[in-house]
Amino acid sequence: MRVVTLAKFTLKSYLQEKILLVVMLFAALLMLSSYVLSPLAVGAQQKIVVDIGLAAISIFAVSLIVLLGAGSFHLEKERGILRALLAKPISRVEFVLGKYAGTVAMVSIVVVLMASVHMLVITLSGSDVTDNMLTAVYLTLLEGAIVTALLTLFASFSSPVLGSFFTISCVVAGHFSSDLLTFAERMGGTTPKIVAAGAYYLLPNLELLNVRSEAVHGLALPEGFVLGVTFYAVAYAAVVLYLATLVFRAKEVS
Amino acid sequence: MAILELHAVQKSFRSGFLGIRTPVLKGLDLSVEAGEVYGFLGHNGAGKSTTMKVILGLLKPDAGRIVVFGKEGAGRETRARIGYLGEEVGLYPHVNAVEALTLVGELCGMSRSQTRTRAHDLIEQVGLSDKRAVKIKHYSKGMRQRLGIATALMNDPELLLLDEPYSGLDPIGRKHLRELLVDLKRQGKTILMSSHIVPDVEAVCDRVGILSGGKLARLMNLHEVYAGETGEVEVTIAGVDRRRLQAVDYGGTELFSKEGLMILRCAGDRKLQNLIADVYSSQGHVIEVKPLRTRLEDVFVDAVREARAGEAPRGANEREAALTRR
Ligand SMILES: Nc1ncnc2c1ncn2[C@@H]1O[C@H](COP(=O)(O)OP(=O)(O)OP(=O)(O)O)[C@@H](O)[C@H]1O
Ligand SMILES: [Mg+2]
Repeated sequence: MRVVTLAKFTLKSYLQEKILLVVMLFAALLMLSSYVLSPLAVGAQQKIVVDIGLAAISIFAVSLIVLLGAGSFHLEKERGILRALLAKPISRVEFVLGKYAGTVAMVSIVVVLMASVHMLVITLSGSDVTDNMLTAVYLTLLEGAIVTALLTLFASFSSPVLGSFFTISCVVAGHFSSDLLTFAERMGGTTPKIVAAGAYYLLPNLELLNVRSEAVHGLALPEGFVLGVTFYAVAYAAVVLYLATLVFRAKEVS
Repeated sequence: MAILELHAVQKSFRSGFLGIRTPVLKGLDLSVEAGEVYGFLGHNGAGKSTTMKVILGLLKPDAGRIVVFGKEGAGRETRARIGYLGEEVGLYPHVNAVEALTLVGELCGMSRSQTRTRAHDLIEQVGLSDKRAVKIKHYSKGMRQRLGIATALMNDPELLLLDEPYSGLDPIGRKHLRELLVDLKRQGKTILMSSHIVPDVEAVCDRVGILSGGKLARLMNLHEVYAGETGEVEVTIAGVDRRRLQAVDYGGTELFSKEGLMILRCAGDRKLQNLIADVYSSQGHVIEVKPLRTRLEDVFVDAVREARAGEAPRGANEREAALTRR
């Protein structure tokens, strides 16, 4: 119950941030302009509209998590809000879960809103909204869940500013993590191989959650893909979040 | 019965690049009895705020035991019975007073209707009725402080930890808070409050502990301190020729004399009666008669100086002398 209260409150405070509106307007403009300005032939134009739109949703979602999430951790720390809250009868685990849930709710709303605009633009441009496009949006939600967990963990054991830096690094590395595996295979010697492979498994495989090219080119996704990826994302986020609660429980709040 | 006990609590902080530990609390023993108002004094940086954070489990002590309501540590059930007002009030800036109190109420597990009535009452009580819908970021410091007091009281706590509750309050706010504290005490609440404003401490506290050198340097029962008045009075008179009235005649000393105004100190017994009679018989008049008593401020300064000098605690007689020094 306290988790829900905190989540509701966290969500409400995010929704009052002006930057949220700015980012969403910007995303809508980008999507619209990709449609209006693209001078290409009809078929190619539609592909670009889909690609840019889906990429924008993902990038803006991640940026908002880092910006608003880290901002919120920072505010709570600087103004003694964290201290005041933790002096109340809530456990630290409840606090972490509440904040996490509120942040995920915020990013979900944003993603759904941006996706709606995107679908509208796609329809305007004369093509159909395919299942793959919806899958791509759904996977962005999963990405948001992972990124929020990472931010929560990093902000728990370092400062919010450093935490957002680590999170962004992880996201970037996470998109290239499959390259690490290739890299590991080509590598000579066992130690670098183990290190590269270790990094691959440690980092979130965010490229796994990227089905933009399938959505753009209308390629079929493998059987059971969505279910498998959902399981991966939820498990990954759960483990990271569990670590965050461990760190946060041991934390001194002065 | 002690509601709150600290036994030999130690706390140090890592500081600097090398993370060298600086001790702040060096074996603090503290005991707050049920229903009392305990004034927690100490110089800036003595560790008062740190002590409160350690009590609440926000900071972990290096050593020692903390017992609240007979239970070790401050778990969730224990915190549900505590109200805390920190140095910074700790309020979200984008919400208004009602929303801030609602959050606290819900976190304390209060029902919605309970939360609403309590929030309403408290806002009234701290004098923020006309600001209830204004966002906290538009509040002044004193207004935030008032709201902070309300959040600390939201769960109707049995034990209140107030860290400089008077900070930022105007004279009216201070008076209200004083009355509020007296009222809470009447309701049987236990209060541990830190403050630098000695008169405010004197006005409401039963006992006063002075933290210095990481330990409790002094513990005083204010009622006893007041009961032990020095028996001396300070008399201010006017309109009397100095040559006609000598302080020594009344067993006292002259503190000040200028243009017919005179301040004398003497014993508050028959000699005082004689003095007053003589003043009036020589066409003068008495402006003020003030019984001298222990000044907490002096005790405070003394305790801090002692701890700073690293002296062993003085003997009882000397302490008495310190108490009565003016
Ligand atoms: N998080 C921290 N890290 C390092 N040192 C700290 C920390 N918090 C407090 N200190 C140090 O501990 C000492 C006690 O601080 P504390 O805030 O408890 O003092 P205080 O008695 O409340 O003082 P004041 O009257 O100024 O409020 C100070 O020297 C302070 O520098
Ligand atoms: Mg302090």
